[in-house]
Amino acid sequence: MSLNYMIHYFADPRFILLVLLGSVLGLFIGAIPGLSVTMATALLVSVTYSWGTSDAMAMIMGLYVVGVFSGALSAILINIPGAPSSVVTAFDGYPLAKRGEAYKSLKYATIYSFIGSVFGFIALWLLSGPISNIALKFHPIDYFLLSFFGLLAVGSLTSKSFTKGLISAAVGLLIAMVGMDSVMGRPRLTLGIRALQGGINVVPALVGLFGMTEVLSSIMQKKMGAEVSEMKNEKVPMKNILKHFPLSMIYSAIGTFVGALPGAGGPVASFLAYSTAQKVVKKPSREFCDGAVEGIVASESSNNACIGGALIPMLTLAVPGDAVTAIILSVFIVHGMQPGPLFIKTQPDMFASVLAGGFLGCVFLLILGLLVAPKLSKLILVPKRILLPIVTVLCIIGSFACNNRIFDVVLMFIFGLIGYFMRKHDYPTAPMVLAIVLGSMMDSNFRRTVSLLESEEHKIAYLFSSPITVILFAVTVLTLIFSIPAVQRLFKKKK
Amino acid sequence: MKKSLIVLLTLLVALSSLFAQGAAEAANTYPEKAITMIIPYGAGGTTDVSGRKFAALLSKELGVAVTVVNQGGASGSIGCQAALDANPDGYTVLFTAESLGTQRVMGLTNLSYDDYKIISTMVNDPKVLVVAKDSKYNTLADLLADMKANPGKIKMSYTGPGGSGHVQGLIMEKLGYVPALTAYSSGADCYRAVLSGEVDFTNSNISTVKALIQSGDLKLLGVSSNVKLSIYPDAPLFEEVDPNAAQYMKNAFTPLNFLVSNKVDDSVVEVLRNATKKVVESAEWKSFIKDNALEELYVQYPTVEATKEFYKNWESMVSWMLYDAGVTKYSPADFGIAKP
Amino acid sequence: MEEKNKKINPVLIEGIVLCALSVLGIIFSIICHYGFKVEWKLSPYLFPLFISIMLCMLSISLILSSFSGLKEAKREKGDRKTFLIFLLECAIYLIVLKYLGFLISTMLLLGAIVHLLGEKSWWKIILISVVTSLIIYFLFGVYLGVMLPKGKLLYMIGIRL
Repeated sequence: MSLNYMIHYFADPRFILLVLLGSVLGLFIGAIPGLSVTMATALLVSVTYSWGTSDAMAMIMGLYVVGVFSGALSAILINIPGAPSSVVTAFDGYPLAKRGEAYKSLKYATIYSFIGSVFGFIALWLLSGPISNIALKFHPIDYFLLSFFGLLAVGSLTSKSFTKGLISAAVGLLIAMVGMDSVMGRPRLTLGIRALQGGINVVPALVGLFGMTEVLSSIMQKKMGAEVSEMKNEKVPMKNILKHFPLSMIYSAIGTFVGALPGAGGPVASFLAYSTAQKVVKKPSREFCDGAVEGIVASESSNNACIGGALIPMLTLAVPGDAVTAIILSVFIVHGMQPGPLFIKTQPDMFASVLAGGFLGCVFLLILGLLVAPKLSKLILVPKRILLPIVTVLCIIGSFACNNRIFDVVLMFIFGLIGYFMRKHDYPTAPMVLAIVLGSMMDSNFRRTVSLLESEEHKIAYLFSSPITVILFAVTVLTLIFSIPAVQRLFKKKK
Repeated sequence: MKKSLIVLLTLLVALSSLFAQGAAEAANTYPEKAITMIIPYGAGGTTDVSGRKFAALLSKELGVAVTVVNQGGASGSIGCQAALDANPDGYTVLFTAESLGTQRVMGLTNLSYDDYKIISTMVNDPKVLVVAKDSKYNTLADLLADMKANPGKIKMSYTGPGGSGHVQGLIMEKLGYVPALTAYSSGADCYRAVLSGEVDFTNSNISTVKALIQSGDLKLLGVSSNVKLSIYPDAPLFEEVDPNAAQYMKNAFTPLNFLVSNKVDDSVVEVLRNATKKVVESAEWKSFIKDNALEELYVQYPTVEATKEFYKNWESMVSWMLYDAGVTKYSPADFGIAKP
Repeated sequence: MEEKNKKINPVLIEGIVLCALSVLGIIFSIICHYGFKVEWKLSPYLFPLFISIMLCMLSISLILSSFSGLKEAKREKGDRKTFLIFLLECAIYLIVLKYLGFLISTMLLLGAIVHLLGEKSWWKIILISVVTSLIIYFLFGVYLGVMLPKGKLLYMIGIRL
């Protein structure tokens, strides 16, 4: 039934134009590190308040879909992910760009972001009920195990030394603990500094640990010319790209499902997909973390599939899947609608506007991405002595804009220095960023689990009463055990 | 010496006249440009929804844009502080919930209602008790009876210390029903926990759970207020099941308030107050209230004095309750808050 | 090869420092917890305690792996002078920001850094710093409504930037 309404929107030139407008906006905002799609969506809500709901939806969906994708653009070109979801894309995207294959990198990112987004929206359209039901079965212990597993996966795949990766993650968790405690409502680990009471926002950390670190490292290494002297004028045939399609289905499924878990989103999904890729793809085109397109496929399909996934609990239960869907929720409410279990039935045209906006957004993602990729890839040819100062200012404004405080800019510089020293000593920065993103979720779910257990008599039975918990626990423990070098050697010897 | 003193004095007079003129001008033609409304909570929450609707209607009334900015965090204290830090020219206003009454005892900040001028108290989102559709409880009496028989075993989700859900939990404890409390990140997350079976019940604001009650996914057991819900008049009031509750149900639990910094000129406050009065009389606002089952607090407390009295009573009751439960950092007595 | 054996493996030093810090973390968590008068189950310092313990174990693992051959890649000596001047310029920027406002301070910073990193052509320096700052100022400050810092000194002259 929604199909009829959707076709109506597809045929409406004004709707299409609005999606395009949102898409172009998203392209810029998502690509600039520190500018977040969340912030832009919040601004759009105020701007579109007096518009019709479907018009507002059109623009917001365009912004959302393309905005999530374009985080990959800066991740690939300057190793500064536009958002935490795109961190994983930088692992392989940037090394590829450094080899002069930026165009290839961007093209893969575009195609698979498109595929992932479409997958997510189809799931939203046809499977929102079942997915939502399964997602509801996840209890706090499962969220905790999921994020813990995500951190383990990151720790192991980003550096030669698992220990160093885990140390980076653990310190990141401690950083995430700074701020207001969610259960007791009192400042924790703030060392008396008032400005820290709000916690350490992920934006200064992300921008500092990736962006500023890159700037500082480059300055130290005195490489002031262009990163790459010439572009390899390679043709990137579609056939080669589509070879990875079957695997992308798996990654998109992971992305959609993780998106449907409120609180977990792009970062978790992309890390899980990437570690899946590492296990499943035996002979990548290059080593992972050195320019393997398989990595880009995993990361981009999953983080864009999250969009459709995050909309599922928002539309079926009025529980937002992530920060952007929380804002979309308020758009509906402010226009007089009530998302909830009856929403899809009682407001099929609104549901259709979300889907139509989403699908159109995917189309524009593809068009804009393919159009812009060849031009953007030339960015890598700009000499560093001009690029780095501009990047520095972007870092400054990005970290300022999230909370309008100079304090965040200072934090950003501190993180830049920390990241610089970390890189110098072979500590990966990605686990720290992911830990900062996930830290408070892990902490609150951990405490919730403990709190829920308190009123139960048979604690172990209660904890493992769900098959989901048992599976997650087993997977996590096995990963932990098999990452210890001693155990790995044991297995190698047996072979 | 004398000459330079005269020069200095002249300069000072000249400078001050510049400022004075600025202030006078401002009052005569306020508002001239866009106003920023700070909502110290996340988008989509109960404060945000009412705030945005109000902002839109206020904007129409005043003839300038009223842009909403969400500055959430630290139980609303970050946004509340930001409203004080901004230029006190009246172009930054605050639409907040009840946390200003508990900031000091919770040790979050030194903010309280005294730091602000009250434009108007706004609305209250009544709190209701809900359970999952397949829950074994069908009436409020069932739930309360089970809680009395098994103290500390029936699970309830709430949004954290000091929140209105927490206050509900503490009131229940005082009446002899002891729930097992677990904190969640938002009102939506609280009822999600009920839907998933992690907890047995929660105390939500009606606007948040209305859709789920309509669809049947949540069962409405009762209302924590002394006024019946217009959209569900059959739902029992707490005090109907336990008369001892009546004394606690007099105060609104989630009062939303429209405030500005103390330093803003009174003439500006008057303009805002008059505009607010017009907005709340409008048909569009009235229908919004009805759709969301909100209580109109400005009707109950139409004057600034009445509102101040309301805040004082609220602060007194809630602060002492939280203190007695041991979750506060300081005693209300430290701030001169009288016992209820 | 012989030189490496004489120097202490930096990984070992890191491990020891980390171990010391994590022990401090454990003590800190415990002390803060007892300042709270809450059971461990609800304490905000439960998770930090676990993480500190985990860090301690990881640091011991690091120390062990330094003995079993984990080494760091050799780094060339870097351009410390430029590095430090860059940091100094950024620090000055942060201080000046409140007085000269965002637009002017950023223009100065950009010009300074571009010059520092080796750009010789003066008109390029000015072009980049002015144009970039203006674009960012309008994009963020005006269009997106970010409350960019306004200069106190400029205010006094009457320029609201």
